[in-house]
Amino acid sequence: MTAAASQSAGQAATLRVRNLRVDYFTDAGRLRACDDVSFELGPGQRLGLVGESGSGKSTIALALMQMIRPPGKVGGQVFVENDELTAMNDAEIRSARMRLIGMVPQAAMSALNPVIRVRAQIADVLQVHEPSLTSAQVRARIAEVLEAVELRPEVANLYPHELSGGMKQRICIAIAVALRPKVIIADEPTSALDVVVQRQVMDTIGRLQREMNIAVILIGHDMGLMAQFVDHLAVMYAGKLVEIGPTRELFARPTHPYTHMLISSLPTLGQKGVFRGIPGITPSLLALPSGCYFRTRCPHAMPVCTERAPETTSHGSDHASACHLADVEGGLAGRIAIEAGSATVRAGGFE
Amino acid sequence: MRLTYVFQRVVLLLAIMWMAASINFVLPRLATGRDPIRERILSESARGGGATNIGMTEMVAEYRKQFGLDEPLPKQYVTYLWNTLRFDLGKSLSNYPKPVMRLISEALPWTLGIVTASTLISFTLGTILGALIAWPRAPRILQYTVPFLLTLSAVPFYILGLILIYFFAFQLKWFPIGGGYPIGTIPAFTLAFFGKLVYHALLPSLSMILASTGGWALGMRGMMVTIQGEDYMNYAEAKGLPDRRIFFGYAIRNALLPQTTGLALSLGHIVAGAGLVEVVFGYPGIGSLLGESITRFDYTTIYGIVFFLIVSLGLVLFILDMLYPLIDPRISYE
Ligand SMILES: Nc1ncnc2c1ncn2[C@@H]1O[C@H](COP(=O)(O)OP(=O)(O)OP(=O)(O)O)[C@@H](O)[C@H]1O
Ligand code: SF4
Ligand SMILES: [Mg+2]
Repeated sequence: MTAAASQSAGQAATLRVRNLRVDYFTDAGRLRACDDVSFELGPGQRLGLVGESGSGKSTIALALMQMIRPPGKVGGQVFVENDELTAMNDAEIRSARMRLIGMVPQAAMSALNPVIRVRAQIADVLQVHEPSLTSAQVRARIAEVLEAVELRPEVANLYPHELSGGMKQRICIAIAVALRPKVIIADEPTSALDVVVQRQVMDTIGRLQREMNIAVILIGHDMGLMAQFVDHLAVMYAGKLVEIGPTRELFARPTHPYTHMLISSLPTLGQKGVFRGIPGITPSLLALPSGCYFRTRCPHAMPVCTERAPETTSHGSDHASACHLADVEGGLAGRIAIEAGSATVRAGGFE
Repeated sequence: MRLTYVFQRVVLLLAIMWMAASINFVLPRLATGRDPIRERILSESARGGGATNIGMTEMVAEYRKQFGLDEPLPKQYVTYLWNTLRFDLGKSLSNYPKPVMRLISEALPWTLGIVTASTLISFTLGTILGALIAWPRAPRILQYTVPFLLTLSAVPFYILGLILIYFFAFQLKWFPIGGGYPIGTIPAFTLAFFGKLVYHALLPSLSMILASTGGWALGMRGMMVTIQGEDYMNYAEAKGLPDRRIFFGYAIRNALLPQTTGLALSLGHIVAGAGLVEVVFGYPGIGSLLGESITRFDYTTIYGIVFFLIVSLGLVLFILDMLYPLIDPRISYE
């Protein structure tokens, strides 16, 4: 899929991902957790990456950081501005991590080394990437980044077990922005936090990325959170990018049935009592159906969906999806409109 | 808060000492139908030529009085505890009238020397080796040491000692067969004598180092494998830290905690093993002293040594326990 999420075509993209592919070679066979994924991200853009558990979101994050380890194998290209991460040797990629491409880990609760102080855990990133810093400068920078994430400087003297979940997540954010990288990948940064803290942490991430003009990839399941936070949305299913585009447009005019189902599974106040999940389960990456991977759960599946995988079709400058409905008159919207008549009859009461 | 814990631990240590002393007091007195004094006089006079029973009763009574054995039991118990508190463990029966404490303090430096040195060396060596074996970016060749280490860790100290003596002392004659220093030399604080000391200590230490390095290495390897699955290890990679920093500052630093617990738990095993090694090498330490005392039925010395070992193990565990918060900040005894 080659949709460009970059708004202005003339401007060089901050992050360019081309045909990214990750295979895990397990005892049960080869498993493609990331299948030919391509997208671009402009400076200061926010891209949300959604999809069910196991769809390959964290795999993309690890592949972008060049952290896929055996039995995994990566193909394709990743560029941050003009540097190709996929062409770097071990020393170069280590120096690129956190400096060009930062990361807020999925497991912030356990991501900090339990036996050393917060100060040392921020200092080691600074010292490794900017060896010319004096210890006084390191000290000042630590205070500075802690302030940036709204923590008191004394927090540096604490050990991870002395911090709350929200504080740990803030420390991870402080580390991610300490070197002002071009891109930050935040893998479900708030999934372990309560709603109030979640909100505050997202505000902090948003403010810092705006101030520093960092491009952000936010990984998560929560479509509600995505709607508020990101300007572009990428939807993954079974290792494939099935739809990508501006968030508003995706919510208003989804072109892939899976995206549509994700959006309509969001609870709204008007639909009290109705829980609409997505029926069926994600197919195993080891036994994928022929043609379109989503056809086993797709309400609009057609004969052609069994025969061949859908091509990526563009629906505007930076909106694209991979579904055979693009070839059908009226597309997904047309299909939904046809079915809407019978649906309103059923929506009378509690289901 | 910290102080309360230290206080509790000190009380526990004292309780262990008290129990050890009490067992030492009770056990010999449970052996009914035997009279150690009478047996002792009999065997002494037999050695002097011609056993005689003349004046036996008076003699026994006199000695009993001297040892305080004619006092009522509670009083004996109090006296005993008081003496123990002053490190007076009584007099040796086979080396009468040498105090047991003197015998122990003469033997102690030898044992302390080889046990401390070989434990420190094998612990350090094994820990580093095990960590490297488990580290994917360390030389692969280290993997081949695993079967060798497994074999070594299964061989008891003293068997390894016997093998070493046979090859290096008996066949090749590179090392002395036994002893702490050459017979005929007078211990002195000179470099030459120190060299001889080390030369004599080498083989017994080597048997302990060889036998225990494998165990430490295998334990550490397991710990390192577990730790590499931890989230903070992945995050350290994401931070772009160099491999060396992750290895020492993250992996080893965290694996060291259970490894140190392992050290504390196996202290008793180490001391017991060291005792046997000393006997095998005729090394003049506590182990040999205990061995000799057993063959000579020197009860007071045996009890003294057992008491001493219990107390010193308690003491070392106490010290390790106090050091633990230094290596693991999550433990603060609050
Ligand atoms: N080291 C590995 N070896 C083999 N398979 C793996 C490995 N890591 C991930 N996978 C597989 O790759 C697929 C994608 O996993 P990934 O962690 O990227 O999913 P995810 O979208 O992040 O899910 P979640 O929302 O639960 O975090 C899964 O099917 C998983 O089983
Ligand atoms: S290609 Fe067919 S099966 Fe796949 S999502 Fe589109 S309509 Fe459904
Ligand atoms: Mg994930």
